[in-house]
Amino acid sequence: MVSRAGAGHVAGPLSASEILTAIYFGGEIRVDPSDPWSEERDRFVLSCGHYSPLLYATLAMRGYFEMGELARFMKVDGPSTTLGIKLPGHPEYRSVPGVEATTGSLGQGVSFAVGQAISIKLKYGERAQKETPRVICLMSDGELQEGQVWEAFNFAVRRQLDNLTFMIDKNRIQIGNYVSQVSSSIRMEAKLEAFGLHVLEVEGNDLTKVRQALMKAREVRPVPCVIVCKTTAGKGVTFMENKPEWHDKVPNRQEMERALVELTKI
Amino acid sequence: MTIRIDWRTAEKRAIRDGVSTGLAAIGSDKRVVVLSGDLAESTRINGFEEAYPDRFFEMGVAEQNMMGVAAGLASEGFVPYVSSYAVFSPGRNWEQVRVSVAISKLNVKILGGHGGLATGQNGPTHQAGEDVAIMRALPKMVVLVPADAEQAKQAIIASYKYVGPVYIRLARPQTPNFTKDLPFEIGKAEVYRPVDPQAGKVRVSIFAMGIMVYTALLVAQDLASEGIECEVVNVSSVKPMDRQTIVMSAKKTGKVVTMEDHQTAGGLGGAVAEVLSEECPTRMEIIGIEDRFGGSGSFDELYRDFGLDTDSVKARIRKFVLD
Repeated sequence: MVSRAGAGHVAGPLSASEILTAIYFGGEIRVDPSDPWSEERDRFVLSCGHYSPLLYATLAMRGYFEMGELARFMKVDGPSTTLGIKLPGHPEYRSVPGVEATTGSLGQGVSFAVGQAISIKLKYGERAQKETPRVICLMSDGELQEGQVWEAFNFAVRRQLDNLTFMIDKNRIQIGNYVSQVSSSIRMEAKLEAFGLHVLEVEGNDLTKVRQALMKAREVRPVPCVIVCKTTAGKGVTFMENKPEWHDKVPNRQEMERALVELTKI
Repeated sequence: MTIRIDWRTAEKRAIRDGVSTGLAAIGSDKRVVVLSGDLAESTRINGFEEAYPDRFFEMGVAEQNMMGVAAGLASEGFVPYVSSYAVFSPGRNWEQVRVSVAISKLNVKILGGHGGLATGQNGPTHQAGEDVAIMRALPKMVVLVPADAEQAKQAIIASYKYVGPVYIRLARPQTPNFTKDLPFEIGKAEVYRPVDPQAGKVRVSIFAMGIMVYTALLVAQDLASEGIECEVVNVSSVKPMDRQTIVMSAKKTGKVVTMEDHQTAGGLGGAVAEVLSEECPTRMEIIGIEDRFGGSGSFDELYRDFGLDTDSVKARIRKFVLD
């Protein structure tokens, strides 16, 4: 998709493939692609909007729309110049079934998900958590540099939004550097705990472990749970792994062929 | 339409007080929720808090998160009213308005308190002079500037009936509450004092917003005795703008003055100029804050210093029309 569009991000989507797969195919999210906006659905917000190729591919695989649509990534559909773009570079609110929020400006999806979680509490009142929708929000580790994220955590903990699970793709890179070179040296997990979140740490490229963490997070009360998923940026493609330059570099034809050969072996 | 009530003796009320009566009028709808940026009393949303505590959210001093949460609530069918001072919301969180609310066309209503120099002593950090400019630049954002407490109430009711993002600019001081029984509609400018095409030799249109509408009426009355006939138009709907009424008035008088407690760059004057330069090029005098920040003075002191008081405005208009 990225190669064909000539733009987009690859390292993040590759690091988080197991996370999205665990969410959408691990039985942890209750959704019905034939009724994508059902009141009863679980909500997934991709706050790190630059992972859009991964989100679109996962939604297509899950049956929200035809796989063939993926060829339209970043392409204008039909004569309309604005609304025609179903798969824009960064996700836009309900541009296709399954896309819950406009994201890509980091931090904003986190607050949006908090808004959904509090809405569900308002609508369902004291009804048992098991019967009410759940909200899952994925963000990246670089995204935690946005102050808005911490405002959102603070509010979510104070309001005891235990129907909300945060996930962090800790792939340790951002656009121009390693996250460790840009953030303070205090451990991310310690900061999250200090904010009152229930922290789970997991090997984020291990599908089974991510699934188990999602199951566990569902039972955490009364504060929201955050699952820190330790991943490898550019996972599965040796020449991309752990390299900040692949955060937003578009592979050329040769690089793409090499990458696909490696990825199909997994 | 001419103002029927005796507007000169209208009792004084703060525009922000209209927030509490407006929210009271729509509060029984369970979809209405109010988000507060730790200024509930000052922004007059505390009445809603008392009446509907379950639908009132104290978000703390965290405006970016507040706007994002409002977008999430709107996506779930709620009608959030987000309240703070305009410098903070939509000032500090403008990008959250842009991405989470406006691009998504979500049904969020933004109440920006303490608009303009009228804010007074708190000084330029708290006086929003750019909010109309930054909000009207956002595609499909409705921008309303009520002229008094009654219109603030009407604006809230109108925003509730309208589906989509709306910004309402409010103000702090006690000013005459004079628009009772006058119509208010999104997208409509109202002619409060029409010029009689037969009367007087010198004619001018005054397009004003917010507190300056009342000043315009006072000025028009005084200038009439000097032979200058002013058509006073309340442009409380800055966006969408009532192009037809603006153009008709400009054609009738041939000269236009705009009045706003806001930066002249990008505010009401700019918006009117955009319309007229395309449809009816007209000489304009744009009265507002001219490329300065405010100061820490009283409402009256600041208006005098910035040339927004009745005498300064009259002098500007005289010079403009008689030159």
